[in-house]
Amino acid sequence: MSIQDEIHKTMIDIQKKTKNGEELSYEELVSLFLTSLIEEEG
Amino acid sequence: MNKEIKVAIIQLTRIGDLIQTLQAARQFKAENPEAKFTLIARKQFAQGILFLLETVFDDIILFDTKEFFKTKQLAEATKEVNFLIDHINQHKFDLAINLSYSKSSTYLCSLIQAKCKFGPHRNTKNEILIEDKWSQYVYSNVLNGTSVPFSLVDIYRYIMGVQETLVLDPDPDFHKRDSNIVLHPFASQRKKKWGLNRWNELIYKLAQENPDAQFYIVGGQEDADEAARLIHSPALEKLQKRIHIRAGKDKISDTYQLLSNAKLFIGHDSMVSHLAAETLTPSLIISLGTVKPFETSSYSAHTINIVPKNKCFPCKVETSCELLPCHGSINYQVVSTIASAMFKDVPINTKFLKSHLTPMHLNTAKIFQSDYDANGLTLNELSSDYKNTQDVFKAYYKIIWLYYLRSTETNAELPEITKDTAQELYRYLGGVHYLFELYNFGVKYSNKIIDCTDKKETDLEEIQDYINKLGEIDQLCHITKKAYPLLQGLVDYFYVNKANALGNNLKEITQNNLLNYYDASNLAAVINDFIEKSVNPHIAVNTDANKEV
Repeated sequence: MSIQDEIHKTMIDIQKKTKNGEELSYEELVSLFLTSLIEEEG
Repeated sequence: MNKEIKVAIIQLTRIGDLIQTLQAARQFKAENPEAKFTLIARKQFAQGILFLLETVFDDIILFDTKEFFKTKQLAEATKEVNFLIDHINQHKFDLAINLSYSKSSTYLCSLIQAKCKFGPHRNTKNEILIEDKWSQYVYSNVLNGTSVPFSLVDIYRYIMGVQETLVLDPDPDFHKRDSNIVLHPFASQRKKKWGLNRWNELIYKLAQENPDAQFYIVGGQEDADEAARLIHSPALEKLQKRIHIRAGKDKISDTYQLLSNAKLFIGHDSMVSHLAAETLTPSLIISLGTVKPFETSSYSAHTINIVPKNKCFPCKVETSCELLPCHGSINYQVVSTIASAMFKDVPINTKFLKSHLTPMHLNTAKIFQSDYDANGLTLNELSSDYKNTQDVFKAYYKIIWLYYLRSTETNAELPEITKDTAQELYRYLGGVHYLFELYNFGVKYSNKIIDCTDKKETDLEEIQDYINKLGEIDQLCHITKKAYPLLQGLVDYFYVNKANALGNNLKEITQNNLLNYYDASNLAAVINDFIEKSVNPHIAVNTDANKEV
């Protein structure tokens, strides 16, 4: 699995949790930090 | 603040923002010498100005996104980020302040362990939280508004809780500087950048008027080609020995040294203009396009800002503009007249402008002189005694936000206005009255929700009905700000403020929002008073006893 696919899968899982009002774990917040860095730096 | 408090400052945005953060942090440190400051920044932006940052911050933690992904595996990147966060959290911060307002910074701030957090961060439900009022002001007013009367450096200071305005002492050896003029004719966006042909004319005129001046054109690697095109024009052919291209050749520290030995800097709102403030070099800034000079002018009392009078200025980044009308409003003769005077250390004031510039020149541009007052940097208009509606509202907002958010009473006279401006302000009374009514309805329905929650048998349908009414109030406030754009600052602030109301249940949140609605209605009443006092001298009463402006 490419890194983009891994990130995409992680984001989908996180979005599901957020939609259900569930709390995110520390690791999920780290993933969100990483993906936002990638978004901002193109 | 006292004793050895440990503060983390998160500033993940660009070099100019880092310099402004430095300028605020320096003042915090001067007031709190025992405090330990750590800066967390992106390597690509901070590396070049480490020599400056190290003068204020006790520790600097840099990261590079590319380094996280050097193995091209997500698991490894996550491990690298965990190392970074663990390293940050070893400091055991008392306070983390996020001054970035970017998405990544909100997540980073949430991952940092600190007893208290200022600025935007996230909770475990991925919601943005902003708990301190000045950061709420930035989120609601600075990111989207145009009526911000404060310098960003001062806003950062206010967030940090700095009380005094503590600035760099004047350079005692200024008179020893060489007759150098540093120019930075470049900018990050086309809209912010004055045309090369205008810079060409300016350099030619300055060179004629100041035979001893040497010109240094600074900029990054990406500016080198343009710099070469600028000076290799027929008009500047005979001046080649006096014009030195440094663009693409120097590090930021070299540009800093160059500015330290210069008598004048001329450029746009950019990292270099903020660097010129650090070197105490008098600066002439040409503010165009999306620039909001009150917010981003270099933090120095030796700055003149030339600002176009076009109604579309300042525009937004997403606004498309091919003709760039604001550029045409800045005449190169205005720039060269003021620049020559600054170079010769002639004071720039209203008298100077009226005697050296024609009414035609002053009709299309405003000239501001920066200065410090008890609250920080202020921009005083030299080119006109009369304020337009936008500037009048800036003056109102300065008074009310300093009072409401900083408990500071400001003694200021109401701005001088023309009859046309009085008419526009008079129109705004309708919007202010409407907001006042809406916020009072907010008080009413908040009280009803609190009463419902106090009852033994709670009627959920009734509570939901009142909550829906509060939602309608928000929508009507939103419509009001569309009709009266200069009221956006007030409406947006309280929207963000209410969205971050503290409380663990409906009753607590509503009680806090009740206070917010009171405050909002009071501030609307204050704006009403200001407008009435400004407009009253212009009101004529006709024979039917109807008032008109």
